[in-house]
Amino acid sequence: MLFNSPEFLFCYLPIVLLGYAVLGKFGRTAVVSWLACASLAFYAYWRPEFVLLLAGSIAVNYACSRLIWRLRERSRAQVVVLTLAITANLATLAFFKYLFPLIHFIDDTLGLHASFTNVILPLGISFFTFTQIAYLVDLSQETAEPQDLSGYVLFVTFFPHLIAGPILHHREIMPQFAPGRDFRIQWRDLALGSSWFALGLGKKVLLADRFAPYADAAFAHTGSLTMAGAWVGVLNYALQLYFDFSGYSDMAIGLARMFSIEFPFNFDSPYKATSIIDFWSRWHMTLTRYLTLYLYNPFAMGANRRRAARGKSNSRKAQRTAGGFASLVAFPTITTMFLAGIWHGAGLQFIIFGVLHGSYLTVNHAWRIFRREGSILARVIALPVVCVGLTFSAVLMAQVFFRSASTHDALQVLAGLSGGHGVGLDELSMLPPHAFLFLLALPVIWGFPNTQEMLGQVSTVRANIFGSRALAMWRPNWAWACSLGGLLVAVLWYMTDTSSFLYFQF
Amino acid sequence: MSDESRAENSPRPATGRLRLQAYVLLLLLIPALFLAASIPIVRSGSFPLESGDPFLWNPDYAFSLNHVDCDVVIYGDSTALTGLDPTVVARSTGWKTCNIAQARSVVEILGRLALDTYLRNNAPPKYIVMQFAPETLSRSNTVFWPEGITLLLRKKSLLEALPTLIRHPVEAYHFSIWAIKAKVAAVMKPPTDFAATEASFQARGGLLILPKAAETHCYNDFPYAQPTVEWVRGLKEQYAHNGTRVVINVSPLPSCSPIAGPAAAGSRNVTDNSLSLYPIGLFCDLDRHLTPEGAERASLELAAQLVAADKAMAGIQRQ
Repeated sequence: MLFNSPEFLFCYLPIVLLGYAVLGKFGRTAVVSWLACASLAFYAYWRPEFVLLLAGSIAVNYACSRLIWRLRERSRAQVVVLTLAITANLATLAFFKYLFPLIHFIDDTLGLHASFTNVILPLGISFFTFTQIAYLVDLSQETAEPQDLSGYVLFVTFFPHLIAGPILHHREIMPQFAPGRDFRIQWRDLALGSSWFALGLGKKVLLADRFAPYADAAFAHTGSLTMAGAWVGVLNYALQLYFDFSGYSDMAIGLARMFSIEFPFNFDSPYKATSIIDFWSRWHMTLTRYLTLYLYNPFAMGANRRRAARGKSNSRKAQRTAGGFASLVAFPTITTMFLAGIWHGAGLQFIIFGVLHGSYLTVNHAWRIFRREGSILARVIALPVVCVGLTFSAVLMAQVFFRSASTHDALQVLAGLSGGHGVGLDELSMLPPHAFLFLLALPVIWGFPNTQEMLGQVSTVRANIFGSRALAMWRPNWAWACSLGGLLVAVLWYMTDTSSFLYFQF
Repeated sequence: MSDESRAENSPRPATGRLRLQAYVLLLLLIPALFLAASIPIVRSGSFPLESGDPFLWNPDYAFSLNHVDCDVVIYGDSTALTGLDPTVVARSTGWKTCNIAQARSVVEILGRLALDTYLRNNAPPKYIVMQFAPETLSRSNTVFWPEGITLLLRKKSLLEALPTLIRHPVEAYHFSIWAIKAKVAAVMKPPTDFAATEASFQARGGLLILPKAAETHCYNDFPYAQPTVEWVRGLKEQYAHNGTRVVINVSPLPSCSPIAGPAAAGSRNVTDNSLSLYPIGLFCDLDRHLTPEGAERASLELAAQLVAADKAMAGIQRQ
């Protein structure tokens, strides 16, 4: 079920909220059980048979979590159980997400022409697998605590994050399901959550879906893209992806807040980023946190240990040497982003996307470490227009691989962008005005506060390149209710053709 | 952004519970009122014309016939409305004929209100002919197309209509947006004058001729389901009174229809006719609705069927 579908808005959400309001009077068990069942029903709406997979994954991981906790005094046995659990999780993920694309790739490469059936990728499998692996790892390190079954099921399945994140960390969510809190409807949270959700829905239906046709058209005809057509397509895709994922994240956070559950931010105006390092602290923030905690840190610590074993220093000064930089910064960064690329999908284009971002980050770190303070180049790059523009351009190039159906297509688009298939300026006059909506949207993205800033959920509204922070902050008053009500009217007008979210494929 | 920057400690205005409730209510009320605006729109006298839906442009016809006392009353879904010409049947049989068929969704949502109203206001006919498309003969699902909800809102009180809309909120939403968009479109560009169609409709005793060209190939996209035999039998039992005989037919399909085989087999021994297969050129819409030529052929077949049935009945009575 999609958050932007009539089924969700007119049937599912009112029923779940009503159940929450009624059962809230009966305490935690009733509410947690209700939300867990409702979340499973949410998942089952897509394909009921895959609830078995989700339930199986939860059952196995929950059993492993109990075992890991029980074996905390016997570290070797605990490591064995943890390893088996992680292997089982990754094997399931590999089977559904990577096995058949790999077989097809081998088949195509070797020209075997064998026929293999495909499996359907279960929705949200990456998200619920990674969430559970993290919990098991932290439990083994005793930085997490064992949970009762209903709380655990809800932690994994809670419908606002089940399909496409944010990737929750148990430390921030489990306490919110713990006994002792008030599970009744909180009107402040309902007001804030519904406003957050409305803004996200508006981004998805009124913006992302308007950019989609021009992006889709460009990426469907990569071989004949002129320079003008390629730029229009790529910029439309950049904004489709931005508003799609930003809208989804807002909706997820808003939905959770309606039930008085606070989700972490997942999106923080990434196109305002002044560097690639900054970009990854703003784009899919919970994935970045996950990658940092469970991939980058172990890789970096491993590199530290190896250098220490060879008697080499791991100090900041050591990072300024070529060898130190390569092993302490470049290796963990590129390896992490390589795996992040694979996480996004099976296909060479996703690996290139990951490695490209890994390389960007490495260059960014090198610049940070090796640049000469006060040089003309450093001063020029520090100008907001330059650093934001440079970062945005680098992100655009990587997004070409992210969106393309294959590496070949991506290279065709890049050729188009650089004029390899002609300039095609005359094509622009044939495009409808909507195709150039990005020209209005980009200044809005760069110049206005983001959702959490407007909703007063950050302590300070960051300055941006246009310096506009005067936009009225959200207050639960009639003016805001009328504005957001009007936004919902516009959403209803356009929502009749429901479209999926881009991140659902991961 | 670090989590520390979240505004846990940011000043929260002391907003009262009542004010928050009013905020949420207003936020929800605005879109709700927007959707509800479709109700007066649909109930307005000009809407059938403004809708641009040919199946809606004369929704009151079936309800407006008083003391016309037809010998043959044609009822059924849109295949009957567009496919059975009362003037042809009357010419071939000598029996006064009228067509009060309605679109499928009207039949499914509103029930047989039009037929019941006709029978209340007129003398019992000699024959009631009910013709349905193969998929309408199955009661496995109800279609909530705009015509059905429009008639529901126009012919029933709001209190009577609301339970159906609440039970089907998604369909109600799609309908509301459709109706509002139709109204806006009509305001922007006044609809075509249907005077000619109206004249033809009246002259032909209720046959709707769709302003569409003949089809050239099949594209059938209706999933086929077996007829609900009990429903068909129930119809016969319900209306075969006061000397009225009930004929239930399946509408013709194009010979290229992918469901022709199963539909023919499924309707055997269920309907009073066997499935006719026509060339695609006699259809003009959805592989179901006939051109005037197609309607003439179907009407002649019906007339022959009725005459044969009448002779057979006369034979039985003589014996």
